[in-house]
Amino acid sequence: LSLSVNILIIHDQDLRIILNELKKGGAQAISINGERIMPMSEQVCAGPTILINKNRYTAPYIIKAIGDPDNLYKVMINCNRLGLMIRDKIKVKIDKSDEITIELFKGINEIDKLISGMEVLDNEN
Amino acid sequence: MKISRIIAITIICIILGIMIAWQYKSTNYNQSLISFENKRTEELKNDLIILQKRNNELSDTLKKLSEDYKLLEKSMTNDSDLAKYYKRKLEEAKIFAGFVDVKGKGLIVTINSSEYTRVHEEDVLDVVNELRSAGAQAISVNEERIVAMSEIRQAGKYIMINGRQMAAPFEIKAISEPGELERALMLINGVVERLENWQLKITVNKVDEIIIPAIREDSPVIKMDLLVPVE
Repeated sequence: LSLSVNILIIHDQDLRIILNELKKGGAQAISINGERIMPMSEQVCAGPTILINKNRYTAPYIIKAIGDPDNLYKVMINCNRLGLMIRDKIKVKIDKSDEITIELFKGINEIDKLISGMEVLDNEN
Repeated sequence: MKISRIIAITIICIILGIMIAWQYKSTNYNQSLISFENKRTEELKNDLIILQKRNNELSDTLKKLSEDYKLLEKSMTNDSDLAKYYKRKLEEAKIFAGFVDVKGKGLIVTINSSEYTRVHEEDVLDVVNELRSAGAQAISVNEERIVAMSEIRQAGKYIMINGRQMAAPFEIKAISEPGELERALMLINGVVERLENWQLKITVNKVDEIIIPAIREDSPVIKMDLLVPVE
């Protein structure tokens, strides 16, 4: 399923809620504008842009999610927030597709920096 | 007499033709040579510089590749090194993805509903997002580890996270530099203030050691049957 959202101001919370809805709908992998959503991926407003994984993105936001297309579609159609966004004349397009590619996490080589403050508690392996 | 004349003229014509063609060709050749010579020295210098750059790049690549090769060769003779390397990488990935219990210093945020308002999914979502953007390295809500596909779902009075139902108070734990996390939350007009305006009870405590559990193994968020790796 892919979703593209356009123009007017899109708030970080809009994206956050849409992502959360997709997760509720059983998405198994999600990306926004090519930025893979990881456990600690934030979506923060920075003026007219939104920061995702510390990179800056502007509209349009293309959200791709892998999961059961019908289920995800239903979730999106029933999403209140998305309805409000459409009411406010934000262009939203939802497409089901048979094959989508979701990009690798760009920070894959810097994982050690992202876990520097933690110790493993017990490792049964 | 007439025939011999015609033959003579034919031969002369053929010879003349060959000569003209020859001449024409050699002029062409000379012209290309001359144009090359006429090319300004500056242009040639530019070409040279570009070629030199490319050469440098290629030799850099060569160096890098031969280093990789050496490393691989070394690890081939020493299998355990490679195994160790991959084991470390795997370990890192597991920590990052939330498959092991971790501890570290961080912050505990508690949100409780008051008699006026209940805690909504957006409230929890906003706090979690704020912690993420402040650089949290691991987060859990009521002992449910937040992983990439963790949902926060309102279900009546309750909130469901990772398919488990929970009620207020919500205890959100995050590991990172506690001061940084606290500052991010406590901003004027920041998340904490906003939630307080909604009459929610929210407390923030810095803690030297918090333990964040791994994701439950039977959790419905660990599903990847629809994912196929792309080469």
